[in-house]
Amino acid sequence: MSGKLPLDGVVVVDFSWALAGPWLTKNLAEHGAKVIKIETMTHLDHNRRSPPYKDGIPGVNRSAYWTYNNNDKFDITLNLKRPRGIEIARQLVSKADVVAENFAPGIMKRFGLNYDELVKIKPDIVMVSLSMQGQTGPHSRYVGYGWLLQGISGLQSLAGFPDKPPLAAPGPQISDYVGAYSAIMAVMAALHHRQKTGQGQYIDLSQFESAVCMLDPWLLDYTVNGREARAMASRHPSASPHGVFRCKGDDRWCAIGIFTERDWETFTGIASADARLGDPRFASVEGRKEHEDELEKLVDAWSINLTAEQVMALLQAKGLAAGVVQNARDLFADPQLKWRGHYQMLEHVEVGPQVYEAAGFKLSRTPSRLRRPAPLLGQDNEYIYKEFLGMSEQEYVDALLSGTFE
Amino acid sequence: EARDIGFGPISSLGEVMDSPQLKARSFFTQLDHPELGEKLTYSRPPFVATVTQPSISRRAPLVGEENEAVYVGELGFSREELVFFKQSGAI
Repeated sequence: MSGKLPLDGVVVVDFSWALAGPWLTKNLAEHGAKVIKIETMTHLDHNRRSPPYKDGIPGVNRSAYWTYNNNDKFDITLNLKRPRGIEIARQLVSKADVVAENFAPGIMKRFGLNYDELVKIKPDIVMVSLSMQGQTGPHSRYVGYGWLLQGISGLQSLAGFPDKPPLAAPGPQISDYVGAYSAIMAVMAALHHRQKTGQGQYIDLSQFESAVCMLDPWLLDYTVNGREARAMASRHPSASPHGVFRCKGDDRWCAIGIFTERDWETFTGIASADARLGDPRFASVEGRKEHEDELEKLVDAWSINLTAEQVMALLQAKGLAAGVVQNARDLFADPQLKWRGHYQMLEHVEVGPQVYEAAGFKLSRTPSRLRRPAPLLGQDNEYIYKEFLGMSEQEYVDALLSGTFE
Repeated sequence: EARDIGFGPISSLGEVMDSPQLKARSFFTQLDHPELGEKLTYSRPPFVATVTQPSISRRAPLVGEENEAVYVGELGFSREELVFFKQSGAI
């Protein structure tokens, strides 16, 4: 399929690692940006050494945890501990529109690659930093990873069961993803501004703040009503039944959400076999909340005789919210995701056919394209250094032999 | 922290509101709400930018609050037309 992509011609020099930065640049690459990912063998991305590995065999190019986030990028190795390495990095920036990084605050400055330095090379550069807690502030230098941010952001206090210790919300890297999506918006806004005015700028994004943004309704409840929300498993403060219910089979569940009185009438019509659900105590949402423990047992007693798919189909047919709690196998077989082209196969050089994930938004004229699997470490050194940067053969060999490309 | 070991407290929502880090970064703003007669706390987007800083200047609108400003002021309908829209149930 040919045709223009919205970010054709946009060059991104990508110093980022782990997840937040790479997820941002993956989305930019899929929409046409030329993303030049800078790695170094002297300090490998942790994710390259993380399972799951293809066939369980470790290798820096075999980790799905790494490849999943890095399709459609050019990959070079560059040793930033060497002055020549910094010089080359600066040359790359001179040809870039965007610079992305997610190191701890202070690292880029140590390399002499912070915004104030880069703006001297490329005055209209758009630089985005996705740090844990922001570049400034009393905790900006705290060490952190996604699972930590779940705790300090308050997310973890809302997850799990009320009578048990806080639970890590699934997908420990929620703050990375939310941070990345916020960064996409910020970068696009900055590029739009640059198009109108010629001005670049520096975007200082905090993954902690990205996570806290998700809690706005609860924070409002706290500041206005003085109520501090606690974990309530899968229940909902103003709906019942609401949660996950056991279905036929091994560890199969269906999520159900009954919100209005009309929903409840419809639901009792579907589950009419159990007369106990018609108990007048359950007729109002207040009554259902008051007797929620008992109600949930009754709903479980109904759903256990059906498969999760049947429960979903029965409820959805009558306009009620219900969804199978899907595992990985279910997701890959999900007909809706298939129709949307959500998962796409690319042939990785070392590992073979691999699944990659497309963005959840589809532009009608210029939809994203996943074209190239995640690169091998340093795969594009010759192309980027010689063709893109214009290094001569001699310069390239000199740099190679002196360890600049480690 | 002194030894670069990653750890952090599991914050309650109250502790999040009191976070010295968020305060230092002016993450929360207070906006007036006329109907409630008090200030509401809003968060800004999770980044600060050097040139174009997103601004939080107006609280969420009351239902239909800007009908006149938008229909008449921006879209160019007359006030008579606006009254007609209202009476016919279109708005």
